Amino acid sequence: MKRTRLLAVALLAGAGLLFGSGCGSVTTASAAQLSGTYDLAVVGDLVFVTSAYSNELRVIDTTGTPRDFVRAPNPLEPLAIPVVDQPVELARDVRYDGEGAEQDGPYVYARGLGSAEISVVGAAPSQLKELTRVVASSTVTALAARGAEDGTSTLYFATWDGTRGTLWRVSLPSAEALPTATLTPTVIVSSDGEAYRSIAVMPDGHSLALATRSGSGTSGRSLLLDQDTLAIQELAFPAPVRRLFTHPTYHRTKGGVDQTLPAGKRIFGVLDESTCGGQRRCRGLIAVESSTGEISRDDSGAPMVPLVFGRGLINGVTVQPQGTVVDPNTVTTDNPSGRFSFWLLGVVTTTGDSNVTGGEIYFFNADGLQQEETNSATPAVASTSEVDASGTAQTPYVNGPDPDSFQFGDGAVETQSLLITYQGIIPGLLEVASTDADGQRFLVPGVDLHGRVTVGDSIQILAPDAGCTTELTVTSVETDALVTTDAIPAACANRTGFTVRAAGAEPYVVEGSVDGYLGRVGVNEHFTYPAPASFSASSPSCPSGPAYCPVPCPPGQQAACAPAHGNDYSAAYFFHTDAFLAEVPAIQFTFGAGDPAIQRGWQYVVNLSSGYQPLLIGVDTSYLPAWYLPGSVVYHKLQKDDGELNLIYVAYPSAQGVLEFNPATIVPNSLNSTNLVGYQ
Amino acid sequence: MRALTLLVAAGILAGCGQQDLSRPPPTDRFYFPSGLAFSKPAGSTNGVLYVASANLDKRYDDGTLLAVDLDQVGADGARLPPLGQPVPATGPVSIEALNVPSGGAALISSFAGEMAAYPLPSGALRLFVPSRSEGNKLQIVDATGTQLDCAYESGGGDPLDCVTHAPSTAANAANPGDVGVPAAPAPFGLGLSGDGQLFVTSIQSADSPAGSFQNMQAFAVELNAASPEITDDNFISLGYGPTNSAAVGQRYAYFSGRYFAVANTSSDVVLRLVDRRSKAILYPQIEPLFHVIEGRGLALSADEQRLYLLGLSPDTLLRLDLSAVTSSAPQVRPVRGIPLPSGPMQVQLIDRPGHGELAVITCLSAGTVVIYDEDLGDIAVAIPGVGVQPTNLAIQREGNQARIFVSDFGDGRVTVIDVPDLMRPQTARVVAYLGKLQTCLVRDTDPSCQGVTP
Repeated sequence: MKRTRLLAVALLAGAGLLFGSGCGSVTTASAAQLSGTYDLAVVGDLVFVTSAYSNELRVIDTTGTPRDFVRAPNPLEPLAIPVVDQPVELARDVRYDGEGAEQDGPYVYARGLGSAEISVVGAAPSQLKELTRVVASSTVTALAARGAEDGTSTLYFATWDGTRGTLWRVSLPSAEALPTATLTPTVIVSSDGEAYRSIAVMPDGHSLALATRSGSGTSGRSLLLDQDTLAIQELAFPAPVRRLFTHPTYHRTKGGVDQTLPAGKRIFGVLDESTCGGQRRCRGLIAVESSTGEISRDDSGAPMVPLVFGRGLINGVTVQPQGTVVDPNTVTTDNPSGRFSFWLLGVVTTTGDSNVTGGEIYFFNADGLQQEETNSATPAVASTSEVDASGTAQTPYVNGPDPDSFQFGDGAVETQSLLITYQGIIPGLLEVASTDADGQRFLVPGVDLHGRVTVGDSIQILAPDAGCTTELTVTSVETDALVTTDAIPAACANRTGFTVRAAGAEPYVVEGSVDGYLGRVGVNEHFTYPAPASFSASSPSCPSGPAYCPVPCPPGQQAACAPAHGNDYSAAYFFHTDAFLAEVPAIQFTFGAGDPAIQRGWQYVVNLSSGYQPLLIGVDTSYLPAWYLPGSVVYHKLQKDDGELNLIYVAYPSAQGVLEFNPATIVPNSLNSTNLVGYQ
Repeated sequence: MRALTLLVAAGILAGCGQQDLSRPPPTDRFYFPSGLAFSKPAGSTNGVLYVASANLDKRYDDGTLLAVDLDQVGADGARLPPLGQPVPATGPVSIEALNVPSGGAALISSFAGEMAAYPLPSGALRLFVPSRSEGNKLQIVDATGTQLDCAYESGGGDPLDCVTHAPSTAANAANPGDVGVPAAPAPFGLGLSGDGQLFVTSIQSADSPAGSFQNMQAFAVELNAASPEITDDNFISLGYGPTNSAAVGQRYAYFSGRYFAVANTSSDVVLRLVDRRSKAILYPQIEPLFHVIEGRGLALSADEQRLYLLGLSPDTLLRLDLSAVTSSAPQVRPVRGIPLPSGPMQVQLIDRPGHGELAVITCLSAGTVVIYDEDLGDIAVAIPGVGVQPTNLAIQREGNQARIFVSDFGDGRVTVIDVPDLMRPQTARVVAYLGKLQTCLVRDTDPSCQGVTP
C-alpha cells in the first residue's frame, strides 16, 4: 500500500450522545468557553487545560459519568482557575517510585506567554486553585518539577534576559503551607548567549535533561546535568532539540526474554526545525541513551533514524507504557478489533501533512523506536512515462530507465515521482545571480558542486539583450565556482545571472519530487543513489558530528559523512525494516539507450510507491471543521470498577477545545468523526 | 465641500437658515487611528509621527492624516520624554494635546489601512495611505516635517484635501464609475521594496462583469513610489482569494491571504509569492503544513532568509525559512509556530546585528503587544498597559534602543513603548499615550466621546 491520503470514514452514529445532523459528530461536554487551548497536563484523574485567552485553567474530571469539566462552587458553572496572563505551557510534578512508575505530585504549574511569572496551582481535587506565584527575574522559557513522597516539590525553571539563560530551582512546601511560604529560587547554572528551552526531570532524583538554543537560533546543546555536582554529559542528538522527555519503567518481552527497561533509560528529543531551515537533518523525533548520550538503537539494531511524521511540525508528543491502540497489524481471528498494547506506545500530533484536512495523530513504537508500519508492501514502480517539455506524454516509451531494473532500499524511498530530465537544469543552479565582474568564473557560493556539475555542462547567461543565446561550456569546476574558457559573447554583457544545464556524458538529471536532486545518469548506465543511512553524531566513526553519515563512515573523515550528493540527506532511510542493511542503496536502476528523438527538457517520469504507511489517524474536518490543528497530547489510563479505560486527550487550539479519543475504538489510517468527545 | 476645521468650528449655521451638514474631522485628536509612520527631521529630538485616522463609524465626512511633532505635543512640563528616559513613578504620561500645526493635517478617505513611507530625493517623505471606503482611494501625501502636501492636485476647496483627486485602486478606466477588473477594491496593506516599488493589497476580490459577483479575482497594485500612477498595467492578478499584507524582497513580493475556502492544496492563499519579473504566482502551500485559516501581518528579515507571518485560528506567529529567493524556485518552509494572544494584526522587525531580529506584534483582540526574540525562538515579553485594539506600528530606531508607536484603534490613542536595550527586549515598557482617550469608540455607553460629536 502506498502512502495515500486518509480516507474519510464516517461511522453511522450508534451511540445516543451525538449531537448535530451529520453522520459524524462530536459528543460535547458542558460548555466552558475554552479559549486558547495550548497545553494539557494530567494529574490523577484530572486533565488540566489552558484557556490562555481568559488567563485561566479548566479541569476535566475523567471519573464522572459522563466525563465533564470540574464544577465551580456554583455547580451551574465549570470551575475556572485564574492564573498568569496567557498561560501557554503547563508542567506537573513528576516522581518515580521504587518501581520506576510515575507518580503525581501536588502541583500543576503554568507559565505565561512572554511572562516572568509562574502560577503554582494545587492539583488535588480539594485544591484546584492558584496557591502562589513564583516571580522570576526575567522571561520564563521552560519549566519542570519533581515531586516528593512527603507532598513537597522542587520546581525547575529557566529564564532568558535577552543575552543569558539561567536555570533555577526553588523548593516548594506542601500545599497547606505554600500560600504563606517565602519562596527563594536559587541558580543552578547560567550560560551566556544560550537559552534553555526544555527541561526534563530524570528519574535518578538528581539529574535534569536540558536543551538549549544559541547562535541566533542556529545551534544549541542537549545535555544531562547533575544538579548536585553540575557534571554534564552531552547528549548526541543530531541537531538542536526543542523538547525533551523521558519515560517511566516498562516491561517487554524480546526474543522470548522478559526484560525491564528502567525509567529514564532513553531520552527523547524533538529536533528544532528552525535551526536548519526545516531541512531533514533537523526534523523529527529521536532518542538517545541516558547512560552514554549516544543515539539509541532501534529494533533493527541500527542507530535510530529520526521519526518524521509527515511534512508538518511535531506539535505534541507523549509516551505510555502498555498503551493500547487499534493496530491493523494485529487484526487476527482472535483479535478482530486489532486492539494492541505496545510495550511503550508513542503518540505524536502534527500541524499538517500536505493536505487540507489538517494535522494528524501518529502512533509509534516507542520501545522499538520505529514508526508502526501498517503496510507489508515494499517500494515499487507504479508507472513510467516519457513526456515532452510541455508535459505531453510520448508514446511509445522509448529506451528510458528499464522499469524492471529498479531496486530500492525499503524504508528509504517515499512515494513520489522520479523525474529524469534530458539536459535538465541542475538543481540549485537556476538563475544564479552573477555580474560581468566575475569574468569567466560563475560563482555559486553555498552550493555543493561535487558530482552535481561536470566538465562539459552548459552555462546559459541571463542578460538584458535578448540576443544573448549562446551557451558556454563548463571547462573546470572549482569548490564554489564554475569556469569556462569560452569567449563570452558581447550580447551577454551586463549579465544578471546564469543557469546550468546537464550535458556531456551524463545529460540526464535525476530528481525526486520529494527528495530533490539525486544525481546524474547517461545512456546505458547503471544509476545508484547510496542513501545516507543513519545518524552517527559524535560516534567513533564520525567524531566531529553531528552529521548524517553514510555507513560505514570512513573513520575520522567527517567530510565523507556529508550527504552523497550534497542534497539535504535525500532518500536517507526514514524507516528501518527488520531486514535493514545499511549498504543497500536507496535507488538503483539501469538506463536504456535513450530516445533518439529526445529533446531538451523531455523527461522520463517514474512514479514510485513507498509501500509505507505509518499508523495514524486524522479528524474528519468535513464534519468537524474546526478540529484541524492538534497540539498538546496526554494519555490517561482510567482505572474503573469494570477495568481499565484508555483515553487520549488532544488540545486543538484551532477549535478552542480538547478532543477525547478512545484509542481502542479509533479507525486507524482514516479520518475519524465518531466516538469522539469534545470539550470546549 | 470638504473642509478641515477644528471642532470649535463644527456645527455652525451657514446663513440664510440653511444648516451646514458638513462634518469635518477633528484635528486635535485621532479617531480610530490606524496606519502610522515615523520620521526624524534634522534638529528634532523626538521626531514626527504621522497618524492616519480611519473614522470607522463615519462620524465625520473623512479621515485625517495628522503630522504630530513629538517635540511639541502636550504642554510645558508634560511633554513626551526622550527615548530611553525612565518611566515616572506616576506611570506613563498621557498627552492629550497633539498641537498639530497649520499645514499638518490632511484629509484622507475613511477606513484607512496601513501606511508606508518612501524617502524622496528632496528629503521629503512620501506617505501612502490606502482607504477601504468609497472610491477605494490610495492617498499620497508628501511630508516635510509637519508640513503636508498632497502629491497631486488637491480638492478645490481645501489645499489639504488629498481625497478628491487621489488615485483609486478600483477605478475601471474603460467603465468609469464601475469596478469590474482589473481592480483592487478595499485596499488595505502596503509593502515597499528597497528599490522603491510599492505593492498595495486588497481585502476584497473584484468581479467580472462588474456587479455580477461572478468570476471573482483578487488583485494587488504595484506602482513606483517616486512617480505613482495607477493604470490597468499596474494590477497584478492573484487568482482567488484577497490579500491582507505584503512584504517585498529582491525578486518576490510576499502576500498574506485573507480567508478563502480551499478545496484542494493548489489554491492555498495564506501565503502567495509573486515573481516581480514575470508576475507569476507561486503557492508555497503553507496551510497544509501548518493549518491556520488566514493570514494577517507579514515581515521579511533584512537578509530575506526568514519570513514572519501572522496566522489566525489558531492565532499564531509562523516562522518560515526562505531559500533560493532569487531563483525561479524559491523554497518556503514553516519551521516554528508560536502561540500568540488573540487577534494578531501587524508585525514589524527590529534588526540586531550579530543577533536574531526582534518581531514586534500587535494583538488587536487581546489588547497587547508582544515581542518575539529570534535568539530565544519564542515570545520574550508581552507588554502590559497598551491601549484598546492595538493595530498598526511604527518604529523609531536609535542605536541599541527603539521606540515603538502603536495605534490603539479602539480608544483613539497612540501608545508609545520604549525598548531601552534591544539586547533585552524584556525592558520594553509603555512610556506615554498620545491623544485623547476615547474608549467610546468601542463602548457605546462610554461618555469619553462627549464633545466629539460636531
